[in-house]
Amino acid sequence: MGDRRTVIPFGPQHPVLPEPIQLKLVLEDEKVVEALPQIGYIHRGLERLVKVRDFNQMVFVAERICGICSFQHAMSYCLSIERLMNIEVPERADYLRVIWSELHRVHSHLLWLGLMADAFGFEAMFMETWKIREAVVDMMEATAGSRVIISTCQVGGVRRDIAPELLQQIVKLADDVQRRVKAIEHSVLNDYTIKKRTVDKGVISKEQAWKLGAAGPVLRASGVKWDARMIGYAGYKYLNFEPVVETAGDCYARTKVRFREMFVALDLLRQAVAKIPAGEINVKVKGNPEGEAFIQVEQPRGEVTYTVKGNGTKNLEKMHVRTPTFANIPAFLTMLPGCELADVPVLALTIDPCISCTER
Amino acid sequence: MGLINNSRAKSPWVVHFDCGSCNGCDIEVLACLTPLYDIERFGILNIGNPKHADVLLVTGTVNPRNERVLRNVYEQIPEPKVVVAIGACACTGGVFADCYNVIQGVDKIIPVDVYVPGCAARPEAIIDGVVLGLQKFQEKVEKMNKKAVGN
Amino acid sequence: MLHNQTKETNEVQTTADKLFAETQKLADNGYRFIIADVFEAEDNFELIYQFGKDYDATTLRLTVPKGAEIPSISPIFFNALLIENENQDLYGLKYKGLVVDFGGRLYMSQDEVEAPPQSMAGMNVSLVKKWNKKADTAKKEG
Repeated sequence: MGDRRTVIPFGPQHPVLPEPIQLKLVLEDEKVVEALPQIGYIHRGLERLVKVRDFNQMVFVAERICGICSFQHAMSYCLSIERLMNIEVPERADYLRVIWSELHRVHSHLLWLGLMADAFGFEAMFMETWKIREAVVDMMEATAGSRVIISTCQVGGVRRDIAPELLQQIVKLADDVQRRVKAIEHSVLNDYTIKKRTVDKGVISKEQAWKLGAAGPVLRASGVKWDARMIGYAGYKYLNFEPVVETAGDCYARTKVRFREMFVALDLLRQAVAKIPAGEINVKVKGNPEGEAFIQVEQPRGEVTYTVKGNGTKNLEKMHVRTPTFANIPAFLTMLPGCELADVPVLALTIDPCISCTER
Repeated sequence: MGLINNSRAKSPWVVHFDCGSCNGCDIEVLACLTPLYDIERFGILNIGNPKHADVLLVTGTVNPRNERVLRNVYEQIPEPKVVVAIGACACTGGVFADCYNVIQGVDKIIPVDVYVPGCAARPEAIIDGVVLGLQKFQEKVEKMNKKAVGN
Repeated sequence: MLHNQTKETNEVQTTADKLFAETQKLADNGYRFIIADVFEAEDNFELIYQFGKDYDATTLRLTVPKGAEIPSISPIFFNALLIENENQDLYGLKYKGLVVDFGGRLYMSQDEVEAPPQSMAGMNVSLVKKWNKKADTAKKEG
């Protein structure tokens, strides 16, 4: 059989991939037998910037690790610095962080759904989901002044407050988005083509998912009930929610998990708006960070970990970020053997790859 | 030749290459295609194949590994062509200019016609940039037509 | 001492020789591997391996002199291969027994990997690479 093997380079510039990553796929006819990732197209080396930028400036670098989950990157970084310096963040800031995080989650999942639809060739659905997403992005602009990278997090709290009228608008937005996503959900999850292309494709068992260190929706779609938000950072400790779990572990389950997570996120938004207390939004930061901290935060794509080490000067000694896609690539590589070449884009999208996170 | 190049200027096809962007500019480029901003009303179509394209949209920082890919994509686009660098990273390297694996600006690798500022560049700015690129495109077409007539 | 969001992580001091056995013990107890970090000092590296079970984190910490070889834990936890290759790239650490060895070229070179591994599932792969073909064959023969 050896002579029938073909090596196909998938990427780095490929219509379904928004970002450059190369997969070398070894095929036997249409079947993938092996896959090897070749990354490094987006590697910038920003972790070494800690030597040049001080710990307050690094917030802006951290949120540019990824433009889709930028607020959560900034928040994770701030959480780790606050842990080092034992800063108590005001309660209102905690809630505001939840609000922006969940807005990011909703917009990220909608974005993913659009790209997924595009991979299927469903152009109209891509347009529809991005139209819904536009409403969420508009809300970010209304609350923070910027559409994508909102720069509202700072060490010690948040930079901006959200006015009470705007908070009510967020509730309205949540209801509106929920209605529109529900309408799409029905047609996506019951569509013959989508079912045909996702059910029983790229199955990862519960044990595999845990052992391979998969994160976020990939992990939860395989039946592992693990969500870093349950640790109770920021305002999540005041709110009620349950991690979304599916058991099938295939592409269809991952799609379902993301849909349900959107509804959980919208619900969290409503809860946060209902419970948000009045008060300060940030505290003054004195001194320099010292010690080591290890922070786990749930992003739309999964769990991100920040390891930072401070040495008592204004520059950190080390910052290291492990992002969700970094954790999901091994799972993705085990999914690939056995699938067909035409399924590779769909499999790639169900882990919701974010390569700029992965390589930093 | 005249007809083809003129229609290319009226309905340019763009190819988007993400060099090493943080996704911020990418999603704004994609947002341009979607109903709210809808650059298709200018006849602009996003396609995957560089050989069909007239305009190259580049986002993000260049590094030694993707430099080759960028040059490759650029060379595959038939003449005349326009390059639009989108976002601070593509223009100068942005916040990452000091990193060890970053080349400060796309224009160090390929000629750039239009620079779109912003981090992340707003869809309105991107549309402005592409429309400005189209004017340049028109000029290039005219220059080529003159050459063709001269010959 | 490492701090989690809510508490301190359980920390275990270990050495390079015992690392593999300690990792195996954690794997048998149902832990997953999260991340490995490197703190660089003047003449040694401090390595931190994070493992997780439910919402608890356990840390293995060891110090190795610069230039020493470290046993790779990727035969136990496949997902360690990316971070270990990354550390090889960025810090010049040397790992013994990596499942897929990019040879210090995961991020940092224009050269591409020439051939894909013969068996990803078997997890005992060594890659033939354009840039150190000679070095590789020498190592294999030796």
